[in-house]
Amino acid sequence: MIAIPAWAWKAVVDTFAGTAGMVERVVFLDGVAAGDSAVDGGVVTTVTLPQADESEGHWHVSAHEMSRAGGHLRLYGLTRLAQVHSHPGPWTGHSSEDDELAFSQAPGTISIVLPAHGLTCPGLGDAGVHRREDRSWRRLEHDEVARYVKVVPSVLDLRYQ
Amino acid sequence: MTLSDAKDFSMSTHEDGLGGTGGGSLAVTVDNEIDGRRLAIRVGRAEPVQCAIDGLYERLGRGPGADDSLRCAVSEEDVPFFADLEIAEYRQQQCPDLHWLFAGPTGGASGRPKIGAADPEAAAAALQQDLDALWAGGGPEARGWRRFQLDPLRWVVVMPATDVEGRSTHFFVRLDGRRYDQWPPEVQFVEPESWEPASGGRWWPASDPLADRSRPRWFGLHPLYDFHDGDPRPLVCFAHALGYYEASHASTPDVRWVQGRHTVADTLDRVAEILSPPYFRGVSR
Repeated sequence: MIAIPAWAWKAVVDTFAGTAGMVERVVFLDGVAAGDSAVDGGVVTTVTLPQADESEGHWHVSAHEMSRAGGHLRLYGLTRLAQVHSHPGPWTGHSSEDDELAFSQAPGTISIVLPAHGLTCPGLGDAGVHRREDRSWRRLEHDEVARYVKVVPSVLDLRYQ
Repeated sequence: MTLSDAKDFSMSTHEDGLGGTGGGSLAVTVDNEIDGRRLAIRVGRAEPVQCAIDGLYERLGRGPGADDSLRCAVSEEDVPFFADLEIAEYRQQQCPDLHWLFAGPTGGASGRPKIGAADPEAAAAALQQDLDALWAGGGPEARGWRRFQLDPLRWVVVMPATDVEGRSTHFFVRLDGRRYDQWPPEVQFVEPESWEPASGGRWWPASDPLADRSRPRWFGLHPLYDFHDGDPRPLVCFAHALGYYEASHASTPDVRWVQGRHTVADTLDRVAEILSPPYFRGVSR
């Protein structure tokens, strides 16, 4: 399971909402892996914004920019746990391009798609959460999502006022 | 990479007596810069660098891409440049730690691009003009291509095909310029009796299995593709053919059809490439 701290999810949504122009955006969720395989999940520590070619209907990050966006992984011993990207309308499915050019095809990889360019402050429940299985990508049913990815509180203030 | 793995970032070249030839094997350490995971690829000392590259892609679960970056971590030299060198020799001369860095492009799209209607007369004129210009250069005839027109928007080009063993045949390639040249022509392999699309048999080139690593990633042959419009039909899929966009296939900026830059000549060049060694494998059965 991938645990996304609430602050990290807010950073993702704020990043998308702060976009100048109605273009698709992408961020990567990096963190400490719980095991050697993508199926093991982990805890997100870092939201990485790559230098991407973004347009109304596409986004693309070159190999050179992926290399730049991955330097900190080795430096800090982190792993890329998931990608999040936006679509312009309400559709949060995976297109064939989303399938083919996702950051990883390793079974267990998670790809999250936000609707409406992320301008509606979407939560995970509004997103399409896709999981790479052995041979293809599969959209998780709503009641499955929490088994694989979850937003967890960043601060819990339990003091009596 | 887990936190425990991260404690050991020493260069990791391993030699042992497992497998391989010439007295053992060597392990290449690959840091995948896309996801931060570290892979160890073991190859025989006398094997070429290409074996380690193939092993890497097998572990990644994907084929090589034209835009991938694979380089020695120390020298930054491009690894595939040395693909034919024995791995032991490569280590000695180029990359002593056998520590590589891998990166590749990523991308996505929200779905089918808007493919607007074109003025049929303008589309037909543009297609004929570009075909005439191509033929005027003499290149198509030198390559054994012939062309004839079915109607103002559709042409058939007869193209030779040769497999890796030198066996030759030919195919009929139908070009439909209904969206030309804002979009590329539709490409279909057609049967000569009807000029309608083939989806198998004599007039359909052998479709390599996806697991075939020699299959170029920029080209796909789908005998029956499930299009968004609910009308399954054959799809000859590459970035200079209309079906690629109608099927919402990947279109990175470096390969995408650009009006004014690309013409039907680029489309035919690509088809000719797939009908040549090492890609062409014969007719479909």
